[in-house]
Amino acid sequence: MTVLRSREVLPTNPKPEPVKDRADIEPATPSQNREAATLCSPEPTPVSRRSARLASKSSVSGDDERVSVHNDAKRKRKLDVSADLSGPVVGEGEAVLSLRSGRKVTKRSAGNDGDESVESEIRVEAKNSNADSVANDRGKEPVRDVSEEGVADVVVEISGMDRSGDETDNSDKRLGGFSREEKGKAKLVDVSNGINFVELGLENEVENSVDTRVSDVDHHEEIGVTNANESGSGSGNTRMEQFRDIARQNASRFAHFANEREMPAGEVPEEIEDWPGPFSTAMKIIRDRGEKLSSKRGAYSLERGKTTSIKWIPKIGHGAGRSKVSVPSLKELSLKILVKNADAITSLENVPDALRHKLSQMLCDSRGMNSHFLDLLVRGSPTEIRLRDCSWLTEQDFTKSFEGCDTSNLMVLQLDRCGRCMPDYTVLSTLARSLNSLPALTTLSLCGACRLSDDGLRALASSAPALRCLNLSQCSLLTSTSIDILADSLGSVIQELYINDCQRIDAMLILPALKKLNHLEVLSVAGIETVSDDFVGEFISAGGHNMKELVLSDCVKLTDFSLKVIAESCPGLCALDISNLCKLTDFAIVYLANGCRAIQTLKLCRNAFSDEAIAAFLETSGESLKELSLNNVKKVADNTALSLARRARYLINLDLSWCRNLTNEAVGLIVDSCSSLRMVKLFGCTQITNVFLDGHSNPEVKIIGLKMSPVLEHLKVPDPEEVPLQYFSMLSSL
Amino acid sequence: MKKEDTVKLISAEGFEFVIDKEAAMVSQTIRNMLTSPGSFAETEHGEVTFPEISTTILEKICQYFYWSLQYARFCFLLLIFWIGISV
Repeated sequence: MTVLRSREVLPTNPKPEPVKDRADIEPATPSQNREAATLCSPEPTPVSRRSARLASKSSVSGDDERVSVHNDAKRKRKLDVSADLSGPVVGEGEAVLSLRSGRKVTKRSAGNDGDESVESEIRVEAKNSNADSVANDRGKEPVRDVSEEGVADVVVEISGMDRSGDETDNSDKRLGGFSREEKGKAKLVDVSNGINFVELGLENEVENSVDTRVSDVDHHEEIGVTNANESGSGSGNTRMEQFRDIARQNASRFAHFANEREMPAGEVPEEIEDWPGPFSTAMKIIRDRGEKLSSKRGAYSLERGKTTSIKWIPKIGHGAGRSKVSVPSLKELSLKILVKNADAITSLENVPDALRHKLSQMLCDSRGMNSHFLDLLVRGSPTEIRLRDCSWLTEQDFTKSFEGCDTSNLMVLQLDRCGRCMPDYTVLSTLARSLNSLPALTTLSLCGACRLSDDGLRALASSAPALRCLNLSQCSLLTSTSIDILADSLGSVIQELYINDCQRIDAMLILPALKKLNHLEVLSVAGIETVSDDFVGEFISAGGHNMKELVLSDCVKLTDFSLKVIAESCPGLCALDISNLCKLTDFAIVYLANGCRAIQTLKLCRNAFSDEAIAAFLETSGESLKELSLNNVKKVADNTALSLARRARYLINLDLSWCRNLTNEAVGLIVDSCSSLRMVKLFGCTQITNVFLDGHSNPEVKIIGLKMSPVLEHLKVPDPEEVPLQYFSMLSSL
Repeated sequence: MKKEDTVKLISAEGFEFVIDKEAAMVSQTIRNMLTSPGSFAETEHGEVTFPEISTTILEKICQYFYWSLQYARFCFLLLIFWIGISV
């Protein structure tokens, strides 16, 4: 195999020696690889190496010995080679291919370690070697030769071998293996990355980079280049590469995470200290599971392998027996009648708040809400007024209704989408008409109050001294000074703050004010673009220990670093929303799994996490999860399903929309095993068929999104009373 | 109807509604009262008093019980349960 490639690449230097190399390479086993590495003695002189490298095949054969001998040097040499290759130095003759292939060589060699032992050996050796010297040696062939004491050479050679293997018949397997390995891996584009890795002396990085570059053409080129450049890495390389390839295949996932961590921009520290954490344990479980499956698969195609991995038998005929029709309760029926005839209601006296909220919610949703009902709600001395939608309300009606309202007992006030009726002067004349006009108010929600400015907020804040939960989402006129106002007047009481989509609020400017809110437990800054890693880092380190919920969706600048800070400083975090944060990698999940063990609600959406990472997270923290959203986390597959089925015993809400890698069996297993599950969203999962729908045996779960029946009905029924201020209920019960 | 199959629901005004046990079991409250291991007076006599529920309401509730049983049994029949506004 190697021979073929080398031949192709180095047409000018056909020699019998490559044949020898071939012979050597063919019996490719990890043990042999190691033997070769250890047996060889470091004879070749730098000069000879160089010449070999520069030369053609002949040198390659020479390199064989050298390679095996200079295991230590190899690595460095590889690094050098890659460095050289990446640079303008092409002198090896395969100039055309060298640059590209050189990089690839490096990377591939890194990633081709199929033998963990070999890897470790190499790693050790690499670390022993002088990475610095390697780095310095770039561009200096002779220096390279001399300084190469690392396993780099071996690595390179092995990678070369691997490549050759790939290119030839075995390429299918290898490539298949690589592609499996590469699933979900970040793509390394730059050689510079590889070089950086080399400098760090971490083989993993190189491996990762190599893995991402697998391609037939590249293999060919790389092998050729390797042979050419490394003068003598030929036969030895190929053998080593083969072994390495095998090792790499098995350890790819392990290495993958280390690499991914290294890959992102410098904010993420590049240590592997996370390894001895619960996440790595979980990852081992996942990997073992995967390996067992892959060993079982054997000759089976991948697809068959998938189905055999999840054993779930739908209960045929069971569905017919189980009546899916739930009898509407008398309460529901009554409420429906009341909503239809809301105008005929004369009084809501003695009606408990829960029913009032349900009525107002149903009325708002059916657009039947009017001032008459608002007057009913406001009459007396209400304790809670909730209006999900005040868009119908005009300023005059609002003023009329609330002017005469006795707000002394009002504890909860929700006036969402009140932009039309809530300019500053209205607030001043109604709600904030005097200091302390809202003495008992603990929860206030003014979503969408787009005419409310900082002054209006100041008035409100001074009238409601006991305010604990404040929702100012989509209040587009508010600026950063509004948070200062809040900090001054309510700094010691406010516990929940929602400022989603307030684009005029600059995250960095409100940092000092936010730090003053010492009891803050819930912060939602979704959609504010200025939220960056610095903001999260500073804010969380200052007041993170109290945080129970963080909503950071759509703050696209955030990277793994923010998650690291959160995981380290927020041990009591109950809910986290990181939807649409596309820069996050699997390391974010690693940090979460190791840090926030008691998380109950996790919302992921369009994140690029891999199946194994999510599965491992579920293994560690799945027991505490009550609500999980994996919407559009496209790589979710069998591993996640298995982990969910095993661990997510208390899971109530699950969103698996757009996870198209989930099969009927996977979803069936989840639904049948998670006994607390009440709602499963499967929008966009057209691969789920009636096999699952009729075959699952969980009587209480509601499947939403498969049949396009009126969605709102489904959404209302399983959702608990929509409380935008979630923790208030927790607090009030204290 | 045999006595063992029936339950008596007594409204605020003292009206007594005698209905099937199965119908009464639609209500979780009544079900718990009648089947709990503890000794409720209700279990012994098969009577449940609702001092805060008026007669008209209780009548509607009993009608709802029977309607609910029908609904569950014949799910394809769209039975409509009408609640008069005056109630």
